[in-house]
Amino acid sequence: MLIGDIGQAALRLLFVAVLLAIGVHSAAIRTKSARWRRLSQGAAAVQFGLAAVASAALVYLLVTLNFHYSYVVDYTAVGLSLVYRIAAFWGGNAGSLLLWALVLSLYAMIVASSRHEDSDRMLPIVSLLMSCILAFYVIVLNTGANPFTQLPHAAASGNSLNPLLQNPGMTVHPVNVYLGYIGFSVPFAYAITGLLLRKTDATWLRVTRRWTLISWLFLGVGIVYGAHWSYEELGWGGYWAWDPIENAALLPWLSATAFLHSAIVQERRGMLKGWNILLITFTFLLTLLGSFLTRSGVLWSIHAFTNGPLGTYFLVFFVICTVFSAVVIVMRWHTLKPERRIEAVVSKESGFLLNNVLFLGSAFAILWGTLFPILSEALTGRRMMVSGPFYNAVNLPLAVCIILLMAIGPVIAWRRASVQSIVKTLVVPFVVAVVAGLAVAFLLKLHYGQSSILGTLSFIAAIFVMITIVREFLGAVGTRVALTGESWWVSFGRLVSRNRRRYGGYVVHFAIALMAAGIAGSGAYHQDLEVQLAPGQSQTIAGYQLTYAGMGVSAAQGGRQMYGNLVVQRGGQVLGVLRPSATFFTDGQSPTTNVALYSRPLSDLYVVMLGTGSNGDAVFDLHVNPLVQFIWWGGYLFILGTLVSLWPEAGWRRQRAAAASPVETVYQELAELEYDYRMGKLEPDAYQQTRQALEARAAALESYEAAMRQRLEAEVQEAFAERASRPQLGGGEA
Amino acid sequence: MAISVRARLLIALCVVLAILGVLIKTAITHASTYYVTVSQLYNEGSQAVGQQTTVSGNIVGASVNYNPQAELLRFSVRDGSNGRPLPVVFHGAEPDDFSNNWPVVVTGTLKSNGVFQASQLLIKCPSKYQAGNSTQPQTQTFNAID
Repeated sequence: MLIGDIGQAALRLLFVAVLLAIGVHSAAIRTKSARWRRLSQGAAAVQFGLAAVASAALVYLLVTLNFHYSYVVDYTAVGLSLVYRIAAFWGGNAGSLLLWALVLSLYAMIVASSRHEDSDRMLPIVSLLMSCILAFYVIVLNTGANPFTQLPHAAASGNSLNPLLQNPGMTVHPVNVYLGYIGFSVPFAYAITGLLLRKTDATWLRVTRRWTLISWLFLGVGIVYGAHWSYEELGWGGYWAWDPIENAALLPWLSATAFLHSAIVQERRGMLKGWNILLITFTFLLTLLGSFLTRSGVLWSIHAFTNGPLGTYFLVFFVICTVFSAVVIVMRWHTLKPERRIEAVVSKESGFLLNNVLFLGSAFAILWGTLFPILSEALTGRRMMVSGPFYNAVNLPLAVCIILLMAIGPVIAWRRASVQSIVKTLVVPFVVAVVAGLAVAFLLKLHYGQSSILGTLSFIAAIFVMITIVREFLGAVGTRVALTGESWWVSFGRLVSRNRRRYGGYVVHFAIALMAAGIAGSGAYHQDLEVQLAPGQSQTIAGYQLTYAGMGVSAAQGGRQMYGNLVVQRGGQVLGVLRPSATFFTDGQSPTTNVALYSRPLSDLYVVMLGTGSNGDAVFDLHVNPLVQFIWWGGYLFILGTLVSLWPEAGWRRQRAAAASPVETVYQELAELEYDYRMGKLEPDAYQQTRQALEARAAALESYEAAMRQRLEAEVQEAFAERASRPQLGGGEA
Repeated sequence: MAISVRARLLIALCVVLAILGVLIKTAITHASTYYVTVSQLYNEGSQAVGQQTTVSGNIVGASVNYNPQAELLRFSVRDGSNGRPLPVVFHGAEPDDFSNNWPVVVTGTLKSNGVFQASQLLIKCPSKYQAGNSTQPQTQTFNAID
């Protein structure tokens, strides 16, 4: 009981601490004093400390199976293994909200203790915003969803975690999604802070780039891992079902992807300032909307808010955040003047714009579909809903366009690109991609007897991306080898490590292309069959011959397992035995099915035992999923690429980037121009023209700086001379 | 060319958005269904017959009848615990957690004999909200004859 009381007390104190922190941050903003700033840092640490105590207490109650607490009763049971007792921490609403508060307060503490350009002015405001967000979760935890609610009498046993959730996936997937979701509040807080301070340069983007990337990575890993979990472990037959809950995770990921790209445009060219703020605000609001949708039950049930007041809490908070951000953005919109205008229709800038439109279009369609039951009721009075076919019809063509753009985008030069040179650069890879894509589609048709236009287009686009990326790497390394005389490997390593963002990004692009090929293959060429077999009978699917050799029973954790033996043959050769099974639990929970999988790089044979009949018959669900493994490989590569991009660059580079003077910015642009030209992205005359313009600008800036320096020196000299001429006068002068 | 870069970009943007709009519009008209409760379906009367509809309701536990050989699942759903039940026929396997009062969502058409022929059957998440709990019933199930 003691530990539970400590947890409860920590939760109550956390509420007080958050209110105090809000006061302290406000004082730090108002007084601008270093002492209050230190207190503001301390307040962030106290918030985290209390959230950590409460979390530790809850985990302790769960691990020790303290059935005095309703949360423990609801999500654990005697016999539940340790790892799932811990996972029960985020298995239910109240616990997952506490995890949310814990992670958010941790992030707030890390942010508060950081140092960066202009951090004295920005951090108190950022901390204030983060504390306000945290306040919401702490209020919910203290009122609507308290994990430390005690029962009048201890329960005899627990309800246990749903068997479907007793899976290693439960320890990885939700945590990743939360870490991602919560992380977007940091760049959002910085964006709003910049606006409030009328500081509209790219500082907030540079400071929060890692936060955004890490959150994006976590969310991406969460999504891919969730897909893998649902595919391989749970036997839902597919990796993606356009379920509202899946959509809720995908939406902020899509808008964050758009943001990551448009942020580059602001950092490099000082454009799209307002757009970036809108994008990160959307992303943050989408994480809130996602939490609202998944916790309120509004989409599932005709009777909204069936799951208690939680939905109302989230809706109110969502509205508050939306109105607040809208007011701040509208009031400060006039400060967001772009430093430059787009110079040409065909340029990297407009390529990024198109990228943004496609990502947001896709996000909008998914949001529209997810909210369609609510929207249609509001508009027409009749509730309507959409399912998988709608999402596929809209998003798959958009995805193909995005992938094509991934191949074209990197070869478009900044500022002004010539269509001629783009076509010249891409014509060979494109033709190769078309031939290779058609060949892949033909082979798949030969094997599976199906064909798909969209699938074929996806293969072409994916191969196109892969070729251009490989060529980009080879070309850049070749250029570097020619310029420096290093060996190829040294050159490769240095190239990547000097420009981690760019090459990490390319690796991610490659990963996405790989996933697209996997989705196209498994989506368009998938085969399935439901069949009832008597012992000894066989069934053929996509070249595999499966012979049912009878049933067996074995002991399993918490019950017993019943399995069917299926001998798998291909071309007369025995490959092995597949054992799809079902687990029956002694505690009376409904049985769960266990998938049997025969995985090969180019296709998966996927078998589920649906049921048994008389005389030892069994009903099987057989699937052959071509290329599905590509999706998971793409997932690993996605992580690798993002990590390359995240890895800190050498210290001097960072310092230089932070203190970039106008002249240096122009020199950086010149270096990029030179690189683009050498990589064949620019025509000689366009190159010469831009180069001359940039050099003239650099020269002008330099002479201006020199003049300023001279003037300054003269003034200093003058001041000294004056001072020397009238000695010992101003005692109080500094 | 008299048209500025900005204007040309704007035109391109409008074209992309228009295509997107058309895409969403056609997809939604092709792939959307009415989404009603059992009592709303009954209120529509004969209008509802033959129309692709999605109905949500709670399972009437006593009515569940499953034949694994024929893979035919018969059950009724109703609103709350005392509404008029709607008989449903579904070709496919019986999902896990298919018990009394559990909320389900069925998609299909109401036949003139008053039976709802479901082509899709979804079960509400086993936990209150769990990521990825999409239920594709044809695979998430197991049935044995005792």
